Amino acid sequence: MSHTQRKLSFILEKEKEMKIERLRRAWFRFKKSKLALTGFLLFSTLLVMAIFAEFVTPYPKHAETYVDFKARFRPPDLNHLFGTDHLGRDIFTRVVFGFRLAFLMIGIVISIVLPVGTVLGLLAGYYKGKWLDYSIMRAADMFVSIPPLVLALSICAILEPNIVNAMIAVTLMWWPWYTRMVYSMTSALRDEPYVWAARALGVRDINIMFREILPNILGPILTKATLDAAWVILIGATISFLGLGAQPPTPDLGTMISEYMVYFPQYWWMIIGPTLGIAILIMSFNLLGDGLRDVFAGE
Amino acid sequence: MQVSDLVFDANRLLTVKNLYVKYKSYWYIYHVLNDISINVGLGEKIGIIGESGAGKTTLLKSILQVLPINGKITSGEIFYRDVNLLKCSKQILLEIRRKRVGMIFQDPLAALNPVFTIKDHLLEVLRYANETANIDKSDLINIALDLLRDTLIPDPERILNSYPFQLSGGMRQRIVIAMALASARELLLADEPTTNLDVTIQAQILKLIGELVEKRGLSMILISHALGLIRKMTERVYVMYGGNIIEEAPTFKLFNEPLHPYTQLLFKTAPKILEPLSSVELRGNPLDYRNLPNGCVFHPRCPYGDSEVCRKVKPHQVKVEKDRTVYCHIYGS
Repeated sequence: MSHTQRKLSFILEKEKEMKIERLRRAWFRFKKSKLALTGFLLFSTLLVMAIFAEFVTPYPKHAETYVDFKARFRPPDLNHLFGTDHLGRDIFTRVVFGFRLAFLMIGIVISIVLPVGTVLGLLAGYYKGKWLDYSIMRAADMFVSIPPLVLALSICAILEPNIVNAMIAVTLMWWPWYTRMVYSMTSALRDEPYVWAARALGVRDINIMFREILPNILGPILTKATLDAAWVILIGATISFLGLGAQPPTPDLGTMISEYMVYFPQYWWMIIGPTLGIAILIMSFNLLGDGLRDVFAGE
Repeated sequence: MQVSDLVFDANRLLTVKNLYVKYKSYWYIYHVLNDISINVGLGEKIGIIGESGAGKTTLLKSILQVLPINGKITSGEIFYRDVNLLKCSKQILLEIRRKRVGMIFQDPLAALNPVFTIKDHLLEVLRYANETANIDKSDLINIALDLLRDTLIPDPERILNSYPFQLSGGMRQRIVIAMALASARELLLADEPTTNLDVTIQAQILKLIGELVEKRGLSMILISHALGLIRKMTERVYVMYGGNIIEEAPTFKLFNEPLHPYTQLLFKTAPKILEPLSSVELRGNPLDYRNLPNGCVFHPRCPYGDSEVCRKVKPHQVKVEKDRTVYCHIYGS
């Protein structure tokens, strides 16, 4: 092995080491906070439960159309952790299947909103003062100016009420917030000397946006995405609760609450299950988001 | 498309003709460059001097067309070899930025992206500079190491994997110089390369730039407030005031006998070893770029500026000698 080759491999190895070191430090900052760790554990447990709902729950059939009048209105016991509902279905099973729908909703909404909002924000921020900026940002302003719930409800009401349209509604009300955040950060960074230095070195506009500016603002974007996940659950549940989201036999948390609310004072346990489910889900996302914010703030 | 290497006049590598640049703010328009004409020959080293805010940096930025978004070139022409940079295709502009012209920036910390290592920075520049040559990553790293060694950075292997904030000011400035050299095959634009450094490092860096430019046979435009340095490193000097060129001369002639009153006053500010410190006082206020004075831009502050001509008529180019011009009514008619 020649001298230069040895040097080269030294540099490349150092680079790999540094990557590992950075991950290790990020994990160190994350686990410093007990709450963030709790959030992470809670989140991963819920996720695993939702993915393997058929195997985790005692009565997987109860998530579908199923009636057993003999077993209806049973209070919580060891067989039925959250009791049973007016059709004799195990509420615990239905809540776990409800997690699955909630995660699906978060996954789909965030994975559409995050890239779309970020790209639009980058474009508008980078071409600040040009027509692209005005057209994107005024469109965003239009969506922001309508109260979010009203917007989502009217979209759901125009379209057929089902879970997919609820996701479309949430996506449409959500993107401007990302666009506005990314826009403000991009328009601040676009006049940084290192950005025009990159331009002077012959970097194309598109590469400046995605390779110079985007890495600098990735932290806040991801943190917002985690914290927003909780809001997506809430809004989704609200839409379902009002009867414009998932329709009854589907085990959606919001739908279940609106279904069981009628029986509230007498059969109190029915509403406890889905409510607790939403609360735990939201808490896990908030704790996780706080932890991620610490990780990015430390860099 | 490629920039032609053959068809051009060796005295005119870069020519700026009657350039006007304006900055717009919400309320006002700032006339920052007014009728600037300069020209750089192949292998020539040019200095630009003038007070802060005279438009020196704007001039360099407009050559590479990296003005801030509120800045606009309103008229004029910039020729690089036989290409008009204001009218050429985007591809040619990119090629010139990537392979032919390099720029050293004023503030080396701000000019480096904080989330990338030095290696990322250098490799990106080198990848662009050697676009067509089909070189793989390990070769690029070797070229980067050579560049760092050229700029006298100790332990370049370690530095490659550091982030900008881990390095000292002098070190960062050398990195920026290395980046500029990677993309400068013909012309180096050095915009106050030593402003943020202490005096000993300044001397080192400038010596370094001088040597590297000499070694690679580059042309250079150097902007600096350090007059001694301009005297040592350049062959010809332009003096700028208020977005105008007011004097142009070969360096030694300018320093021996400055002609324009502003240049004379500027040289008086330079401290001399054997004399007590003297202060130069100008009357009037600093220039307001929103409404520039009629006539000569310097007349409100000029000790000889009270005459009718100075207040009303914009001075024309006066050729005092074959190779030196001045824009002043004293030497006119």
